Amino acid sequence: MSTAHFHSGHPAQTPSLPGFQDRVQDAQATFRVLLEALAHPGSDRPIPVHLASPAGLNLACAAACLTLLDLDTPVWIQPTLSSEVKTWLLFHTGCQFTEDPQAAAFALINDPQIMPALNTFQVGTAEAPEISTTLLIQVDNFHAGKSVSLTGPGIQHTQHLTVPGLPASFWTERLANIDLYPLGVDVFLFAEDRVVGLPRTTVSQQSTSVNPVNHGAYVEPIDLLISSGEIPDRLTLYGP
Amino acid sequence: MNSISIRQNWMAVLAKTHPEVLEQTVQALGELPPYQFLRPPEVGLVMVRGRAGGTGQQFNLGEMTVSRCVVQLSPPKEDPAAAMAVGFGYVAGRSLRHAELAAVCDALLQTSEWCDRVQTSVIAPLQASHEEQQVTQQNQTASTQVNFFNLVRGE
Repeated sequence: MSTAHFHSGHPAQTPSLPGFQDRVQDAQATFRVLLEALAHPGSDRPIPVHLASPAGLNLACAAACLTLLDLDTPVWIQPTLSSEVKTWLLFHTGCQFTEDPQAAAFALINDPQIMPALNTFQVGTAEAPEISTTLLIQVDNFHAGKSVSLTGPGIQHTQHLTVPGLPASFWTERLANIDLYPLGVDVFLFAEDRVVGLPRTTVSQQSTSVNPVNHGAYVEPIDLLISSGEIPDRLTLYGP
Repeated sequence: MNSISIRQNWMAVLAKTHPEVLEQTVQALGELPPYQFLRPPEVGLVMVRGRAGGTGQQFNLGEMTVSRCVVQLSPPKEDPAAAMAVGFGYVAGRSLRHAELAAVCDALLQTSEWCDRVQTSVIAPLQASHEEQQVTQQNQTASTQVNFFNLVRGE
């Protein structure tokens, strides 16, 4: 039998970087943080894993991808992401890639300035609101840029969030997204090793001068009565 | 043989060898170059499918346990960005070490420095012993062969 010498470089289908060091523990730790991020919208929290992520993916986003993507999740990838990222995701998660944002379970975005409008993604159906697209957006950090105030389930009073690089249209589209409830897209923002969750229920206000009640968001009628002073507060209403 | 069928051949030899035998053979190679895991050894299930008579409808025969592993040789210190060989190991059973050794051998066989050494001291002897075993088994089976004759009664 003759000996064969293969080309010394690795084939294009093989990434040069490993995935999680401990697949089970790291994926569970990441999943827990992602859940907490959605439960407390707007507050950023670190993802406690060590990972060598490929160029174009920050650590938090890479960890989330390894945790959330699998053989059954169609993923829409922003064309600006490198083929190295695609190869890495394919090797470690086995996910399917789709060109159609409507078919995507997850959308991976690394340049939010030129991202498609939120309503181009799947918002779900009345029978199955859970099939909506979850957007994984990479940003630079959570301490620069205009402040956005957030209200809604999971936020006791108001949560302030500063994210640079998100276009103004993103926030206006999110308001339209809230009108669709219980449909709509959920968003995760990733910067370095930190993650912020923006579920479909969170009401975001770019400037503080606008009254949050008038934005089409669902407000409990009881809260309207409380804020108008007709009912002093919930304690007296439900009290003994 | 093209390069794909040659690689298929050595991957098959590595996968069919008993883990302990492979361990001893690989140890005889001496010190191996450093490598890292792209996919640490893990156990999973694959569905084995069959066709009745080789031509019928496909059906699921059953699941079997498979261990797999992917390693990449570490680049030399002088050139940390060098593209290094990536070896894949897929073996039946739950021996993680078996999958790792198969992947390491596969990676080494793709390098010009190690290919001949691994071919001559690992793949060739293991393949020879497989073939010997197969011949022995065939002979044993052949010796138990019984021929049936239909005797037609002349009525």
